[in-house]
Amino acid sequence: MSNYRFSFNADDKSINIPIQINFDMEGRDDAIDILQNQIKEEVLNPISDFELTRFSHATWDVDTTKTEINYKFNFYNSQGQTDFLNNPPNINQWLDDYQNAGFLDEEIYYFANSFKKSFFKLDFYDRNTTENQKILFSVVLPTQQGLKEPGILFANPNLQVLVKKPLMVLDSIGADKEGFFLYWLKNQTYLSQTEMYMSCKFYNAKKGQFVRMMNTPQSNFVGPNVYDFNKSQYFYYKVFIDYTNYEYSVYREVPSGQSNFIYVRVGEGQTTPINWYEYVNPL
Amino acid sequence: MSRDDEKRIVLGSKRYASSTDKPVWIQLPLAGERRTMVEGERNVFINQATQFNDERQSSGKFRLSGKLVNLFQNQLSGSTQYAPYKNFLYYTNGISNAISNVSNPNAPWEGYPQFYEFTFFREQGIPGHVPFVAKSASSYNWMVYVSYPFSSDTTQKMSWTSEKFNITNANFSVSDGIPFVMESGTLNGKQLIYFYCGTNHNLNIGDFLEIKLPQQPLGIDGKKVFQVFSIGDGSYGSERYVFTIFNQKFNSNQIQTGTYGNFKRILTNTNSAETKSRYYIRLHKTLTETKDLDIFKSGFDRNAFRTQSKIEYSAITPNNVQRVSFKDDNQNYSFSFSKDVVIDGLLDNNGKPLTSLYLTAVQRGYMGYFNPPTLTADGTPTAIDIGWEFNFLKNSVDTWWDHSGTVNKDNIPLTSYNYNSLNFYYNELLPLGSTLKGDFCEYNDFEQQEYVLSPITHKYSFNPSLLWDSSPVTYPSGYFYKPHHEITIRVFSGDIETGKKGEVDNVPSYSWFSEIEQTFFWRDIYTYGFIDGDGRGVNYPFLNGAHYPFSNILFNQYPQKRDMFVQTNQINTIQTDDCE
Repeated sequence: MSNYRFSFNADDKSINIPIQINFDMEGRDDAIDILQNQIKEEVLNPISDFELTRFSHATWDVDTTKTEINYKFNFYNSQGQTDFLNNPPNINQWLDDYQNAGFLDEEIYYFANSFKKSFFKLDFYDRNTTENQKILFSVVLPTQQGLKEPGILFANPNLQVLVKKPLMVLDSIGADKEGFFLYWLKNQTYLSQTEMYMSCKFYNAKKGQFVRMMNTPQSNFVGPNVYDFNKSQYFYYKVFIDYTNYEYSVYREVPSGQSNFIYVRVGEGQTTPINWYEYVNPL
Repeated sequence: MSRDDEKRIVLGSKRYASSTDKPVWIQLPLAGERRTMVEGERNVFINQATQFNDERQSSGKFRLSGKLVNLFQNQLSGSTQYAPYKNFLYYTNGISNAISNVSNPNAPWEGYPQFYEFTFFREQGIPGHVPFVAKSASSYNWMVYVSYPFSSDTTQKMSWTSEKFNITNANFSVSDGIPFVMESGTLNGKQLIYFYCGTNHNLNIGDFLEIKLPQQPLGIDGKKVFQVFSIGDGSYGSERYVFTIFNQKFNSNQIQTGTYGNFKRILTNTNSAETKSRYYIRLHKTLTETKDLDIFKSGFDRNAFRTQSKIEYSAITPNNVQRVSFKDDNQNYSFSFSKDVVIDGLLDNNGKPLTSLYLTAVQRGYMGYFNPPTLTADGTPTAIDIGWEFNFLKNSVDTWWDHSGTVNKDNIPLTSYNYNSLNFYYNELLPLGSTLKGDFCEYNDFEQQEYVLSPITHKYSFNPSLLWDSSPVTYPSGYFYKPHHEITIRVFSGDIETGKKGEVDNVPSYSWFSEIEQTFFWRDIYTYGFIDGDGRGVNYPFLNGAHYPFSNILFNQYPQKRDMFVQTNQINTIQTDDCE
């Protein structure tokens, strides 16, 4: 109890009377319930949505009635050449022909095991730096797909046939559909990845080895750069995923200035296919 | 209990020879483990099964998929002069047409539109016609959506023709109830009045009904409510369509054969106001768009019917190009939707939680063979005709199907494009939230149950200006199909729950309250995964936080002039020979 002493004078006196108010929130029980559920969610594994859906290739920018995607795989023909540093290659050494990969026309025509068990593998990564990238998924393109070109069986000019070539036109209808659709997370709640980087390898069942491919032939580089180039730029195409229409489109990422890029859409028709060129290692 | 602290007490004199007895004592330790009680502390026991079930029951997200069987036989052929169509028909009179073509290159060619016009996934266009876009392969011929019944329409005008009694165009509103025609008769000496109904009457013996007779507004001898005496008239399959009431010596002028009207079912005549059924058509609202559908050929899965194709030799084609044409195909399709359907907050047309979604397919006909333009009541171009069970007659085409009519139309807008100087009509893609008419239904509050009396049927017709046959312009040839196919997502209990006002708690929000009985009525909704003894319930996969119901959809396209609901008075006897 506080004591107050008032001395008598003419001035007005005032005294502050403290009135204590203790607030007690309503709905405390509800709040605890909510907290309890939150903690429970933290303790348990929350629901993660791993459902996949298919994304089709977006309609072309140059022709909105078309959706087909074009891949052109160019294999290197060494023609006896061994060293790019001393003997720079030229663009004509890369050709969309399985013969450059060591297959004979008869192997291609008769779908020999060595040919039909070869395949292209497209890997999709979250970034284009090998040091810290994660692979998201892969797509395999079998060699049974693709357009055809004239070939000769057993080197006999009288046995002219049409054989597969590594130029694929994929669409949602028709014979060549494998690899047209990308299957990726239906919802972005677990992982929101709308930009990816696509690289390519070719598995040569005849040689039993993988060959890496790049988006530019090494003939475009001069001197030591023929091997020492920007891997992030030349081993990948960039893929954009459109969750509104469930579509994807492929671009070539071209540096512009210090940190900007220009994106050039590829895969639209055979004039601007997604070009892959066999990468040749230094000896 | 542990025995580590076991003590053995032996009498002193028994320990060894010279030992004496002496008192012993043991100090018993009183130990206890204590923990301070914390005010408000909670313990929650979690196990996987409970957690899974909690998540399952609380989820309202659905990922629909299924198989679609397109049952179709190409039966309607026609003639055309439009060159791209001519070059692409399945010819029925090729040699004769080829001969005519020599003297007159513009002579029409006869044949069937190929199967490509009727499939759900079109893989090629028509050479010389509009460019084919692969992306639209699944929307050239059909538009497929997910829909749900969100409301009802009680004002839909309907019409019924009874061939048996030569009653034509008995017009009524859907809210009037089930159409019928009366006929006096006897059964085992009893004087009865037979009611021949246009659709399933959904009555049982002992039920009551309230009739409405346009020609006799006061009913029969001033009476409108009657009790059902018997079901059927003895003929095969008549139980669904025929019932009788006692003829209580009614004035014969009031029960003349051929008197027609409508009735509503009543459960009890002591509470006829509340136990009377309501009649309406459902209204569906679309929950997806065309782009949300993924439909594709399901591998080697084919239906039981055969593929029919033939070589059209170059000499008997208008453009002298040899090709293979397809009349019929038996390919089945798989479908799924890229968009999740979330039903949280959605109520059905009776204000109850949603228990069914529908796969709704509407003909599109982008290639232009079909859909002669006409108008709806508000002047909107349209082409799809709609009808119900009683609009299919045994011997003739009901005048209901007059293509120029306005009451037999739905809200499906028509549009067109011009190509090669001709107009081609097709149905527009329906935007999200579009409303479509649905099945003819009955709902009874006391039973808390909806009955589908007659599914709605769509008809799409050939455009006679491009492909014509002998059918009149007002009744063009075409095909019928049912647009709405149910996908059950939850199930109501088979038992009706009741609770007196003030005596029960936790009455569901969707319950119905009887003012007369002062009682709530409702049916419980079964939880996901529960199936009762009668087999009612659903139990489909739940993962990724979503339900995955799978549906088998039988999609039947059938031609005009077919009586789907034919009643026959004759049951064929099984033929046996001497060996049997």
